[in-house]
Amino acid sequence: MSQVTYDFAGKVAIVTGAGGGIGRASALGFARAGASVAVADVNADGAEETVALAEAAGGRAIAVVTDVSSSDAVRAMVDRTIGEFGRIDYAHNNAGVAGEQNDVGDVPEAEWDRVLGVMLRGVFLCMKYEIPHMLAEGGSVVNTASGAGLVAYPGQSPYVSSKHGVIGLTKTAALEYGARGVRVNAVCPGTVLTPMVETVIEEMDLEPALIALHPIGRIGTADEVANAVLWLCSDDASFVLGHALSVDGGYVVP
Amino acid sequence: MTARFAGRTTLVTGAGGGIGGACARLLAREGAAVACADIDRAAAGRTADAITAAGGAATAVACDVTDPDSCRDAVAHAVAGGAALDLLVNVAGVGSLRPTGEVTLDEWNRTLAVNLTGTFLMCQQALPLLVESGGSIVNVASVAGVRAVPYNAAYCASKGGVIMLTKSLAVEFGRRGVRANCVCPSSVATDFLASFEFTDAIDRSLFDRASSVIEGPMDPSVVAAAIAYLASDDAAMITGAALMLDGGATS
Repeated sequence: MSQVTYDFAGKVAIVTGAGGGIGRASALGFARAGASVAVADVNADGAEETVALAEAAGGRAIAVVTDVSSSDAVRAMVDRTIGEFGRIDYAHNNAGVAGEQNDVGDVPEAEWDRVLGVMLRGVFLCMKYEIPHMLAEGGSVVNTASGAGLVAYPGQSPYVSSKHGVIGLTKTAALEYGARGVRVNAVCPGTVLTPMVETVIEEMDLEPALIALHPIGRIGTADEVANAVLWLCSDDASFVLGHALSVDGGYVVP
Repeated sequence: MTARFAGRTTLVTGAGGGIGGACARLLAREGAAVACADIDRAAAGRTADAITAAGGAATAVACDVTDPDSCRDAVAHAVAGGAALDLLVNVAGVGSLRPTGEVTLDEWNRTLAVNLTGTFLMCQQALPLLVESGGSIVNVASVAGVRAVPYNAAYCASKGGVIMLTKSLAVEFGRRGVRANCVCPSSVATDFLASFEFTDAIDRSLFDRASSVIEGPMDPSVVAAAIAYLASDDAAMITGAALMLDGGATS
């Protein structure tokens, strides 16, 4: 939970991949700040759980089952948000998928399309349909990139390519819309303790090795990434545009 | 307002100037005790007086960041009475606009001495105390540390150095609980910016490539807000970052 209580009362946020992990943390952050939240996820149960948590925290939220790689689904998500809440002020485009481990020569083409479909085409489609609704009164978009958007991870070419692409897309949209009152930025988490990651770490006993890679000496939490998303959406970040903010304990410090 | 810095002891260099003053005032409004350091003791005093007049806690101290003894004394001043040091903000900086052929060796050395070596010296003096407290450092670098600005070679070199100094400290001291970050503003509405002279020898068209898409210059309070964010617990997982406050200039 953020230390600062942001005042997003009367505002509306869309968060994709909000059925768990980072997206759930930011959806709850927006809700606690007073925003109405469209909780989008491909997983209906996860989205409903997040909505219940937001409502329990006194917030207003709806679940919107969305596959962000589908144009029809993203348009429906935006239409539903406008239909329920009448506006869009903030968008955290966060939906992602884990990639299989393969060298480039062994990556199935379908795997490439699947990963880039969700994480690059998905972010593009979300911005394409969200930003027009922000132009009248201004808004803020934060895309979830990754340390993998800044450096490479062998065996993860689709994931790394999509996250590098998200940063390029973020910067381009930032320059296009900055003068029109819409700020677009990205966050670059390092390893974050989400339920999915926790399982892998425990099974493979990766925790000591992962901690060793983080100069700060620990692994981050979803809330810590959400705190950065909220700050980037706040007026305190009024001159931050096209930035890829690392929230990684120094993991990829160049 | 949230009191993110209640009970924290902070030291801000360049606190007599635009960004340093705005930063000191914001930290104090959110509960910090602020030692306002500046080479101009009177200017630091004005910032400290404004803070105390508003009900905050501040003191002023003269500090020449190019002098190791002066840096040591400023740190000692901040923790006089036994306080822990929780935050160091290095704002002190100099620069001017001049064709590189006309830059004197003294001017080059002075720019590096204040902006880069001064930041190093302050960090070196403060780090033992920051390790004890689990504190943090925020340095004011510049967009000029990432993207070249013409007629500003010494300033660009110094600010690029500040960014790598910050990252190096972040990696070296992360395990010991100290975070180090920097902010990289583009044009800020301060006396420093106003002091830049656009003589006939300067080709203004060379500046167009580094302009922001948001109307500037920004108010110093915008920089102060970013410094406070990086120093706050909400940024507990952020270290080694160079946060661009540039309205898209480096995109």
